[in-house]
Amino acid sequence: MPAPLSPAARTRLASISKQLKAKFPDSDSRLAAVAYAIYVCQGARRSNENMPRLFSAAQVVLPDYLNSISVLDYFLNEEADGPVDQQPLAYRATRLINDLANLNAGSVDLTSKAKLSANWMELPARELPFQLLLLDKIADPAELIELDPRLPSLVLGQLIRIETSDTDQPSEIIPAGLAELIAKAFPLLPGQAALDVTFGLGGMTAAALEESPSARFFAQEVEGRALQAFLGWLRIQIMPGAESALVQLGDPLTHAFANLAKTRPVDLAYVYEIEPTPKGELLRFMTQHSESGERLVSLWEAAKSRLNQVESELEQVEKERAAIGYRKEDEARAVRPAAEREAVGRELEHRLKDLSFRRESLRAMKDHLRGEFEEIDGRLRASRREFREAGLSVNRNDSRDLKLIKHALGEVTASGAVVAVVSGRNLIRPAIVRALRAYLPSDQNWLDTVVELPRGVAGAGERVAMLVFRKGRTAKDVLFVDASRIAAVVKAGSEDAVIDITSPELPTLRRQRVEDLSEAFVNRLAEIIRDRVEYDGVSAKVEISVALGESIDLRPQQHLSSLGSARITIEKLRQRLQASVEQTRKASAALQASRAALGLAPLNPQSGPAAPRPSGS
Amino acid sequence: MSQKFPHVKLEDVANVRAGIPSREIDRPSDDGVIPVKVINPIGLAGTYLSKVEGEDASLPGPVATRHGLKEGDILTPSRGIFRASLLDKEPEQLSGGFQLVAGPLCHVIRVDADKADPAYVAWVLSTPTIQAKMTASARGAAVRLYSRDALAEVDFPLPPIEMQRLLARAARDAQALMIARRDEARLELAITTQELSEILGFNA
Repeated sequence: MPAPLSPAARTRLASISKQLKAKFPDSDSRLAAVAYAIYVCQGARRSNENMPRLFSAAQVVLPDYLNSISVLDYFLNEEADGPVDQQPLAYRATRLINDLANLNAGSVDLTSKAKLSANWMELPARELPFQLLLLDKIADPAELIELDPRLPSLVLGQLIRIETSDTDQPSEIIPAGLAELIAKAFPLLPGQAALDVTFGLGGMTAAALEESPSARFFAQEVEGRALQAFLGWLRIQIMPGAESALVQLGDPLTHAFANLAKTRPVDLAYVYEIEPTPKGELLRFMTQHSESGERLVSLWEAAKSRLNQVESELEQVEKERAAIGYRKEDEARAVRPAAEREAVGRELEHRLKDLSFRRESLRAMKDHLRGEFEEIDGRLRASRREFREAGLSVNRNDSRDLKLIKHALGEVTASGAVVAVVSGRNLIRPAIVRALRAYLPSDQNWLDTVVELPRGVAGAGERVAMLVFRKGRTAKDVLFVDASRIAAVVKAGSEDAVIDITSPELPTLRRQRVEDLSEAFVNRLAEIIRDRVEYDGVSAKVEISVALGESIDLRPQQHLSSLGSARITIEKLRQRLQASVEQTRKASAALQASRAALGLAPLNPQSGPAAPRPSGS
Repeated sequence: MSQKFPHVKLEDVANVRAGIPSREIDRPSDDGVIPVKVINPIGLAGTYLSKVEGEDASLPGPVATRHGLKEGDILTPSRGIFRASLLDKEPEQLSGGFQLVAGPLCHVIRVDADKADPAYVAWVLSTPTIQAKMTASARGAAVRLYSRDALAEVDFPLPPIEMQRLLARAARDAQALMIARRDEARLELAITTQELSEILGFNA
């Protein structure tokens, strides 16, 4: 187990974290993170040429052009590539990242298929100089390495942190507290290997590496997340003792190349796959489709308005023609000289001809516009229908989480384990529960532990569950842990827990939402999962026997209500009550004494005589 | 109405200052920083504090010294509902080993022990009469804001020091009794719930 950070290192990290949050509130700091990681690698080499404190960072192969200058100068030096504006900075960043990926292809296999350059070119580089100058000022790598070699990696972790405030779109990247919990609950022995099939920004692997530095790590990430995987690899590289991590790109379900079971047996696999809530998914779908939808709607509106205009003009022309028809009738009845009558008649005929001609052209235009409008209207209707159908279909779960679990179980050795963090919905969704039944003790006996985590822990607005599978286990029970209440877990097993469980505030605590997990919570929960400890109201081992066709539900709370809380003895409560009554008696006597000293009558004569006060109190 | 005891302004018997400014919290320093706990108004539960929950922060040494709290300091919120809480023990004992500082939304009252008893001042500031005075002098429509000057000018009766101690002791004892009775009542409720559940054959 690694030694905790010294108070000096801890406060320095807190200070850096606070400043990063203040200075980089909404800006994209991914380019800065890459530059910082390279700066750390340079700092690691510079700190001590013979025995660098960050051996793995010193081993990262850097491009030749960074031999003589620091990465900060590479980005900040205006003479290097002309004037510093967005384009040259982005160009330099792309060049550097591609070179870095090519030079280190042995431990990060990103270059084969991912279009890294195109992805990086999209990142905004305008704020990069400011960000780098600030990082140099507050988190100089050489200085941090001297203080504690783990600090640069922790700073990078802060830089690439993904915001988790949107509950409809849970973080794709495992939160630090959760990664730490898994790392502590599943320590690896020297020589053992772990496979992270959902590498993301490397949070899980980094935490496990810190906990078990002698283990070997393999990781995989889908191609669409090449940027995150590259940042995660850099994060791993600048951790002390990270030379054994190998990161590869490719969907684990189709490219299982990160693990070659015979040459690299895997003892533990991590899966982190949180589904977005249906609402969040729908909103994202709408955002993607809104641009074309808006364009279609504006076209429809324009066509409709043109058609209306022509129709109203046509109506006007019809009215004018009717008016001229009446006028002609009037003129026929009027008494006038023949020449004048003829002239008026000619004029009216002429105007009628004009109007007829205009009416015909307007009718032709109306037909054309109507055709145009109907075409756009048809397209809009089709688009709406498609949108509605697609919107409905996003609610369907493609069970990627379950597929990843199955894949991971196939990858680990006959005595290996799989830790999966998935949406809590999986514990009640009939289709998933049916699939999970195969791993229950009555069948394959691989499902070892089911943990319900606090809401909001993975940025999710709903429950999050951790499932633990162990192959080759002999126990015939499943450990159910309800960790949704922070206080109950922290106080598990203590006298206070008894009161908390029966306290009237319980219903409100059930809805507790957290984004950061406290150290006390992480340590206690890790202990419960690792040692399979039963605590009243928090954890219980349950033997499940499921008959064919019987529906089951894997939520821990229902199993605890019938087992865990039963052990809160009334005897314990009575003992506490006795002590409390004594405390009340003393307090009452003390108050009586205080009142007597002021000449006030006793309030409650049943409380007994005033207690003598020790002198000087 | 004639006054039984002479009235004094708070500033006559105590130094009143604002809590630590936000800009000072977690400011980097070349000379190193020390971890502290920052008390926010939500942590001011009761007139006599025997335990304090605060937020972790780091402060440069001189700032921590300047703003560090001591036993006997009284904290009041600068907005919201007015109340006063006394640090009844050394800050390290209250917080589990950390130095304490008052947050930006608090005022700190350091009573001159030769002129008044801090425990008495804390109690008297918690009385409805002083609360009403502070409310009357507060600014702000939606949230009441209590300025440092308004707090310094609040006046209250100051009996002889011995009398102050007796009053403070009675107030402290009354608070302790209330807490003890509340705990007792909670336990009685828990036991009764448990016994009733057993009658029904429930386990919870």
